[in-house]
Amino acid sequence: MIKHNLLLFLRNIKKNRTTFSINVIGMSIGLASVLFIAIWAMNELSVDRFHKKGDRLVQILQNLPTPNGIETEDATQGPLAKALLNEFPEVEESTAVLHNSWFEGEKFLFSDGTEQFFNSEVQFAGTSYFNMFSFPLVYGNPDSALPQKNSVVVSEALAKKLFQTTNAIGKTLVCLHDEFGGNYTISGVFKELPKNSSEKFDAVFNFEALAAYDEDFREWNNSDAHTYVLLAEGTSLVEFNTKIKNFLKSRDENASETYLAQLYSERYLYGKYENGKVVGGRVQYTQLFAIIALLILIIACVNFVNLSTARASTRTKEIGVKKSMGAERRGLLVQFTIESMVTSGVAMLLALVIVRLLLPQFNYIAGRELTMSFNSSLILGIVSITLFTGFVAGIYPALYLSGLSTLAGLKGKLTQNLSGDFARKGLVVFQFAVSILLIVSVLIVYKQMDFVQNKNLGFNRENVVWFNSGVMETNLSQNGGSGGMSTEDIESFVDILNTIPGVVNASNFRHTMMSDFGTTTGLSWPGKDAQIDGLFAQIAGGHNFIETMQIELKEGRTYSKNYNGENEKIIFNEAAIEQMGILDPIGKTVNLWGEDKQIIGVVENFHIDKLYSSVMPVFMTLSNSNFASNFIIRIEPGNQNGTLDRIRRAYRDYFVSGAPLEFSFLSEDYDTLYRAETRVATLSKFFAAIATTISCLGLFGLAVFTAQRRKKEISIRKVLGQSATQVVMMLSGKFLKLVFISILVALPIAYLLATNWLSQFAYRIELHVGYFIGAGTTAVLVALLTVGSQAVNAANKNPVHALKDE
Amino acid sequence: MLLQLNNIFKWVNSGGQRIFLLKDINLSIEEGEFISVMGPSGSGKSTLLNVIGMLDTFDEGEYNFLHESVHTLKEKHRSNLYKEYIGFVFQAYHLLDDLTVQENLEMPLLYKKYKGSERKAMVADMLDRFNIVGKKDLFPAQLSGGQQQLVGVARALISKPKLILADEPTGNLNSKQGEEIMELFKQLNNDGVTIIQVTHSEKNAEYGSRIINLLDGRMV
Repeated sequence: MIKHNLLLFLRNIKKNRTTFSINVIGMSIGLASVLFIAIWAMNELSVDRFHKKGDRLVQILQNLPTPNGIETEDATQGPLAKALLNEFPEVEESTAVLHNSWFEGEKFLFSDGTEQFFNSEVQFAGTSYFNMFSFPLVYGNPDSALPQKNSVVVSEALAKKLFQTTNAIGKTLVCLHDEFGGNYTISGVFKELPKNSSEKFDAVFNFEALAAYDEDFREWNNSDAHTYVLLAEGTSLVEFNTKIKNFLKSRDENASETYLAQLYSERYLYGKYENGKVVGGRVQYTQLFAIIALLILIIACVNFVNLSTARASTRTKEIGVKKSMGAERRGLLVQFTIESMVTSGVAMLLALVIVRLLLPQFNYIAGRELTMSFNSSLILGIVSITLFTGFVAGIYPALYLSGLSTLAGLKGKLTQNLSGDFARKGLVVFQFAVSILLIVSVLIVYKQMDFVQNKNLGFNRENVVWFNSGVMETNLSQNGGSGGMSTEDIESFVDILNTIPGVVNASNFRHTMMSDFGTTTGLSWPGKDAQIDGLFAQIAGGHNFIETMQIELKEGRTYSKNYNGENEKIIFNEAAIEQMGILDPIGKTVNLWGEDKQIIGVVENFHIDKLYSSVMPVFMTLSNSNFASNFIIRIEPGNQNGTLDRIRRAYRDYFVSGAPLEFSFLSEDYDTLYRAETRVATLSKFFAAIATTISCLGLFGLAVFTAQRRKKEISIRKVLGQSATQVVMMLSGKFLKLVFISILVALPIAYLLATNWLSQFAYRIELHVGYFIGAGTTAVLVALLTVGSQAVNAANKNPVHALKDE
Repeated sequence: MLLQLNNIFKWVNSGGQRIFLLKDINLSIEEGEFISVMGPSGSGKSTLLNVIGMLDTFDEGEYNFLHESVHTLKEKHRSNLYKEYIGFVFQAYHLLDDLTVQENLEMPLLYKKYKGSERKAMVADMLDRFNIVGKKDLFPAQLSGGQQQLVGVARALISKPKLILADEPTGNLNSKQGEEIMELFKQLNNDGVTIIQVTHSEKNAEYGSRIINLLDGRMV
């Protein structure tokens, strides 16, 4: 029986190649999309999930009430980790961690004592760190990984680079850094971090060293470090949360912050907070793409359903004859379902080939290094997706076909099934509605990203390069070297840069203006309401920084070497002045962190945060110390390579040669800020194209079939005098009507989704009727092209041939 | 007795009126009979045949087939019953275009519990008996009408039915081919197979042992 059914199936395929190809191609594209998304989602879901004690590893976050609602931050007080360990029995272990990002781009340069330096990502952590997190040590003992204040645990790769061996225990590492420079002893070497770790670092220092150096990390009124605790098995996170919520009050009566404990492994996917609660995060992208992939697969299945039911007439005889021979409905049901499963199986094989071939391109767009490794779970997934697809696509046609009566089958007559026809039209409408929805989304996402990329930020980010300071000869001589650059060093180097031909302007600075800034409420001004704190961002730069960035001065003046005491002066942007409500600000005095500062200038607003938020109130201070030892240079457009070469030479002459220049373009940094959005835009472009293609394949199949079925009708009409044009209109019109209905269905939904997505941007494009009309027109045109050729073909046939057929 | 129809009525409702397709049919058929059903177009011949073949239902009356009350049986039992005892021959042959002669012959056996080797033997036997061994690998489209109907009859016979229902088996054939098929039926009948055929042709009807005439759904 199986052999028989298979034979029938295969010969049927041979006879109806178009239908089968449409089914297989459509399905395989759909399945390939699902596979890509599945591989990507599996990777997303695995991030930070490899920690063996992950189900008990908890991060403590802080909820701060601000004028704009509760903000959730991961920075906590330095002593919190220890206090929790001491006071809560359910806390088994705890650690404070200070990540590399806290140092705002300051370099940690490592060497083995020679002049060869390597820039490294570092973090400071408590002694239990390697016990709590599963970053296995190749050498050293996780229980006592950081025994001394000057202990350091390094990665295998760093150990190899520095000492040409991974077994570097006991060796001395020389670190060049303003505050933490010195000699450290290597107490452990950890294995290469897994790719799916959200933490990236090359070296771990002892948090005690940090606390000893900086009292901020010993006090309860400062939040910088991240706090992690390991809960005892069986501890309820909900109960623990209620217990620690108001713990800070016991240390600082006036504190308004409360604590929030979240599983560390969940933070990667659920890292967005609103009103002190977790409201999602990256997982939303995963869900979004999962939905899109599913929609595409359904669209492909719809093709199968539509074509199978529409072509039912070609199978009626088989069904009638089989039933008259005693075949039961169940047997036929199984036969047709298996046929669709075989189809989906073939499609899956093709999909695997597609995935295999296009994975590098997908990785490039998605910014991942995903691989397809056939482990048992992936194979199980592939098999179940195949069966599921086959079942979903096949069950309705199977029910429909197997339900035909024997007599109807033998007479080759399909009972005019109005509900079936209606369902088919409904499915086509669904396909096109989804396609149009995706086309509109792509248009709008693209327009917004284009807007973002061309937005005037209030400063000019084009033709600007910046880099960290190098290592001074004097640093090396100071045994273990610290100190960095002195004010004189910085000023002399800026002077050198300014004399380079092709350099328009140069300055030193600390904050890149690319969503990289510190905020403070430690500012008071005449007439300030004592109850409400204003949040300000700080931008520190040297002389000429404002000029180099080409920030527009509104009133007053910028910092100048012609005046003395410039360090006691301050410059605000308009938003800050507005927030403070100071009229006539020039010459007025404000108080910053206990020091009086006189306002000398107001600059026009500029964006330092992503365009999701409104312009930040910013104050700018003059800084010529090592605190602001990054250099920023505006160069002339054209012949940039020559200018860059000269800058490189100046750098090499000024600093020691062991640490070569690494520079960035500000405009590239800006693009990096929106990389996630750009990826979404690119991916959705592909998905929209795929959805539309599959929908059109289906429409094409239906058009071919309709033209065939109505062959006789068309001939009669032509014999009675209808022109070919009228026939074409008649045939295409039916499909276009469906596409128009899809447009009516899709556009309101698209409008709502677009409004919703755009609303998260403080600066966004206006929704134009044109986007919607554009998407609608695209769909109509594509549909017209698809069915038109078939209609023309049918209309131009000689009617005699068709009429003779009976 | 092979089958018995008592007061069989079948109707459709059209435009508020009840149109009778079969009206008070009473008929009993013994094993070994060869019956020809005749009547003008629309008189209900095919409907009667389909009712007997259990492919179609009726609205009133009783139908007993080998002591089973067909009117009380569920669809599944009915299908078991006709699959076991009835073979169909169609005017348009209804061979499956995508299967070869051999495969077409094998098909009815698939719905019964035969082993592969048994099926093969039965198909070979049938090919032999109808002298079509040389055509076993051809597709229906490669055969003449008469040859196709030959295969159709062979297919109906292969599962050794007690009753063969033939709806105008010669309707699509020329007279010579038609004669051959009727001779074949005669011979089968002599071998003990009960046959009911629907026909328009007086000549073909003469092959039967009894003629039933229908007019507007009634036996006359």
